[in-house]
Amino acid sequence: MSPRPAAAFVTAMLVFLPLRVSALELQLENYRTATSQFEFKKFAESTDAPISIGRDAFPGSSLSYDLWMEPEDVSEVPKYDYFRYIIYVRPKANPSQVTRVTFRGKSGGGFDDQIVDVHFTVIDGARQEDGTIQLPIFGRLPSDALSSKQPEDPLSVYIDVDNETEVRLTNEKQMPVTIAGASASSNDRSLWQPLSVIRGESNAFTPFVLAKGANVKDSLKVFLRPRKLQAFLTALTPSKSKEDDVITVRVRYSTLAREEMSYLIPVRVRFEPRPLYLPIGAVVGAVVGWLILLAVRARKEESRDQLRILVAAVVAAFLIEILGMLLAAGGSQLKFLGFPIDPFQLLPATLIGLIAGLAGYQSRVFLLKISRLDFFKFGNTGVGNATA
Amino acid sequence: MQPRSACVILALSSIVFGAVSLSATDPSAIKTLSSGELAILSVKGIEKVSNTNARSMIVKDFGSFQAGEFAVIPEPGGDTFLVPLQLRMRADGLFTHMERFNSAGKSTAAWPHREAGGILGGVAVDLVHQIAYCSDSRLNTVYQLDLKNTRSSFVLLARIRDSGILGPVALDAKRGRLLVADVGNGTILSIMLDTRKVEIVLGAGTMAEPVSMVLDQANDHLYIADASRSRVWVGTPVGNKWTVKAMTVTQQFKQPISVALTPEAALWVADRGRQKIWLFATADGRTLRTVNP
Repeated sequence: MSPRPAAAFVTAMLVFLPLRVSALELQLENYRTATSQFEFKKFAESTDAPISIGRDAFPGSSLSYDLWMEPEDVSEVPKYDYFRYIIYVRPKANPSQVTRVTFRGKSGGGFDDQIVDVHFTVIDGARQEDGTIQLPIFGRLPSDALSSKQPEDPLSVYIDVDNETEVRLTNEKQMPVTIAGASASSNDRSLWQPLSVIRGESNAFTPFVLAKGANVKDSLKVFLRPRKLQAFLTALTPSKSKEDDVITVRVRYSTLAREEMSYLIPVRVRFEPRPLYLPIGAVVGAVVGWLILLAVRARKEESRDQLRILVAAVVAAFLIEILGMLLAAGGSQLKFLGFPIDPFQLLPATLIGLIAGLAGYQSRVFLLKISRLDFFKFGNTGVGNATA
Repeated sequence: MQPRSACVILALSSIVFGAVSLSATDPSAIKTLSSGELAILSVKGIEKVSNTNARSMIVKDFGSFQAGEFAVIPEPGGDTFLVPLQLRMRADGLFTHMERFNSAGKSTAAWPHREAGGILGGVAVDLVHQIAYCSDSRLNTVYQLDLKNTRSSFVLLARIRDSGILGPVALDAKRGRLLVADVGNGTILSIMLDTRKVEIVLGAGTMAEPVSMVLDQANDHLYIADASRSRVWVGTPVGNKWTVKAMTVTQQFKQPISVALTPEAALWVADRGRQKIWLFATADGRTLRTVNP
């Protein structure tokens, strides 16, 4: 065979038959952790086509050889309880001569996944060299990579507005964690409009990486939109527990080589304001309004009529607040002088009361019209200013 | 800057800043449905890929459980799926069970594996007698399970002490035996179903990591995916033993991790390294179809 066809043949062999048995041998030493051991056993080694070292490769070196492993070349084989490692070796003097070595790594016990320096030996004919390569090793039982501390008290969720709450995530691993997705679900779906989880300012969730040990406050944002009537009724119902519902945020994450896992964060929520407080706010507002009315105009009235105005203002404020809440829960809007008033908020509820108190005379006439109760008539007979 | 220092800095920065590449939705196993369509098992669940490449989820994720293998059982109302599942927990060790899902993806039965610390690796089904055979890759045991009874227990068929890691299983009904691949030693074992006699039918040396296998009973061919040798081996019986040769195909494998046969005896191969699932004509190795996992 002439030299050129021979060279072409050898090149073709290298390219198309990269799996012929290699003369070079790589051995990895088992790694001892504080409590256990991670064992490496070789599956196979073969020559491979020349390839470059990736930017994110795990590096290793001895005097005459470069070793590396690409991050995607370590994978968990959960059904057979080991991790597969593909490691490449090449002589520094001849980088095109690449040997691909496949190992299996198996944990002897439980420890946190970590990146360690693994001692290796390269045997190439008569030459033998030692060195270390950085490799990830994995505990038998994957522990939770994430944690999220939740407050002791339930999160306040306002019945009438769109609520946004931040969920803090902490990476408990000694390596980065990729957050692949997040979703939220509630124990009682009837209480909520569709829930959504986003990342940062984006409207959609975008995967991101939590660096080793990172603790990020606004890792995730959960949008909570209560269904008003159902939330109102839930908040109205007395309950022993502090929370009205529990939102479960499911975070899908993955770490190097491990299959994707989920971390569940229970977020306890309590609707605010409590419906009972709203009419109380309206009543307080009515009393304040009545006092102002008393100071400005109703001083001249007899004390019994002043009391009638107060009772009328309080009853009117209470009724308007309750009616307003029911209407708003049904999708209607309560307006005063063209401005919308939200009866589900404490301040507007107090304002409703204040208006009813200030308009004490009108409140009395209004109640007199709808109830025809003698109590709301001024004077002993009620004759006189009943239609004032 | 020295090349090695640069390399170390790059690697450290990748560790610190998290520039890692992950393949979280790699397929763990593939099977063929009775309709001839492809079923892919991954962390997402079991997904069906139709002949027009339309995809639909059959079983939507396994919750806190993890699956690595499955079997398809053709039934009149639609295929059902037998999935070994394991729950990984921080404190309580592994909880493993076999679960059956109907064609709508609903769980219809579950059989707990009562051996502490066991992991069910391979599974094969005797469709005639409705018996499942499965290997435990951690305890190196092989069990049978009566699928007709939802309260049945795993019955020990064999405990193989000097094996490496028991992996995929295939039922050789014609010879009344179960073939079990030893992933750790690169061998194939045979367990006679009547006598429970265990023998090596393909010795070490040729294969390195037989992670998946499927038996073409009609043509007496055994296809074995060898992830470490980057090959799919084709086995042919010689007496009680098997011999293998590398399958010649029009693609170059990198890390084949699962094989499945179609009713027409074409072979699906899922390759993790190439991120592809190919369908090959077994007669000449032509690529008939390519699916992205």
